[in-house]
Amino acid sequence: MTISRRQFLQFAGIALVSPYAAQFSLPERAVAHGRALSATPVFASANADSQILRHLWPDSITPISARSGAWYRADDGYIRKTDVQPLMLDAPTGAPAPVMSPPLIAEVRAPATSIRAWAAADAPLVTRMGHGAVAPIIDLLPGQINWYGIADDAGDLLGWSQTTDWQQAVHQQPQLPLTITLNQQTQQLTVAVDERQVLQAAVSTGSPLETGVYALQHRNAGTIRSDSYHGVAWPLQFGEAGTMAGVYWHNNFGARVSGLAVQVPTYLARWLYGACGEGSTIVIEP
Amino acid sequence: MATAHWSFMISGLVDLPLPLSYKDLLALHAVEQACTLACIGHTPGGTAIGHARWYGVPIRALMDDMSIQPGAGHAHLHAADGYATSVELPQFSNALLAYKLNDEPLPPEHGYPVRLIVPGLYGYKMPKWIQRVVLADQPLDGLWEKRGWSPSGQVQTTSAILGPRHRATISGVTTLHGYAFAGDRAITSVEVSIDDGPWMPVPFTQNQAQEWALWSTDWSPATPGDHRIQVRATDATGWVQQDSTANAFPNGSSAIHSIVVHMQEPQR
Repeated sequence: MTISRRQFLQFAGIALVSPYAAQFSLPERAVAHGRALSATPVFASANADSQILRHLWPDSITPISARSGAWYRADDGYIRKTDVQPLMLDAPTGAPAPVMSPPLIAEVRAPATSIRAWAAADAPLVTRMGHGAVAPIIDLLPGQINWYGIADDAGDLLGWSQTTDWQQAVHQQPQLPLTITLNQQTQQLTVAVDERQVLQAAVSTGSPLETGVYALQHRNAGTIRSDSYHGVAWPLQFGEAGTMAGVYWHNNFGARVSGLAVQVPTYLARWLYGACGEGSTIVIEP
Repeated sequence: MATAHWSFMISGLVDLPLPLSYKDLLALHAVEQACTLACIGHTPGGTAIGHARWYGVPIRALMDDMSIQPGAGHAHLHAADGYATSVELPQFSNALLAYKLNDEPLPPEHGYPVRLIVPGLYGYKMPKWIQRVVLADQPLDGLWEKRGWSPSGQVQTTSAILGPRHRATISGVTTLHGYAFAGDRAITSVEVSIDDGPWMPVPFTQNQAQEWALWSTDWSPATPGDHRIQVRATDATGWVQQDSTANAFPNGSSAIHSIVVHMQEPQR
């Protein structure tokens, strides 16, 4: 069952209230999927006490057709919203991806990818990145399996990853003076253009933030590191308010979590990164 | 070794030694016991592990008729070929004097006419061609113990992927299968990880603790390319395999087994 982009965003806790926000880099209509963040139980009903029908493999992809509160409806049961990362796929992730020439900024198109110390599947693991993570590609090692050299946030070689897991990261040019308001109590973020609200989204904050109004300081080149996570996507730095960026390792938006100052889904981070033009500010409320 | 030349005796710290001929042994009540045997040198993915049904006389039945003296804590095990080792008395009392393997007489390479089967221990603690047991207050340093191998010989928790094979090319849904084994400790969990991702519990069956658990699950790769598959087991004590080094010396290996398979790209 295909759903519209707007319906998908509602699945993810994002409400669009203006055509301004329609430019999300998502297909207009597609089947919504969930990426299992770990071994994920599928319940017989939307109740954690109900029978567990099976478990989804970590990093497997399963269609989701509806959202009801803290639950998604899957093919044959119900999945806790926090157990999966919602994805809007118009093509299967297993389809071949073109091999691109470095340098470029790329994002993870596979459910997840492993970054290894050298170009072999059994090489020591450096780190893993989930779907939507963004990183610079600085090298290409062609062969029976093609490998990209992935850089860290300082531009140094982090490790090697199979090319089929990546696609070019694209975003629109900054164009709007956004006013982003973050309510820490409700964990809700609203975005306005010219005092007109364009969207509202559930987000997660880490440590309590100083209230105040902060100007956009800079947009990063597409990726940063947060704690042990690499490839944190589309970061925006708002002075002392800290960094807002897309995270791929949880779907607990609407609740506080540890780590980065302001955490949003990767597709919202991409839109904010692309839309956030000169004069943008963030208002931190208690 | 001809059965006519085989004899068996338990002596040492007992009030009266117990001698047995092969004919005496066959006259005693025997039982069948399934048991997995592993060599202490076995490493994940290796072949020095196997499973069989053993038939013979439980040592406990012999010991019920013996008066063991206080202080006896170890059983020194001596074989017809001069091999010697020792096990602790509780483990010896759980052993089996086996003379059949999968309903057939023991083959010579398995110790015909009689060998010892001791659940929970590595193979070097189960002498073939066993002939003499001496109960003592101290352990005996046998052939392998003198060379630095574990005095206890307790099996380490292990698991392995038997299929698909390392470097196999796969397409679509693939059945992963293998075993997990922890000596005389039951397996409580078997988990598989793909590409170093989170662990996934997989179904397994195990009849008794001293038998290996067999696991099997279907997996469908999300992307083409090479994928690393790992398996680990948890035993009844809560021990979870975590070691990545396969070196078996001196206590046996509990290393995590890992293979790489290649998922074909879909046809264009």
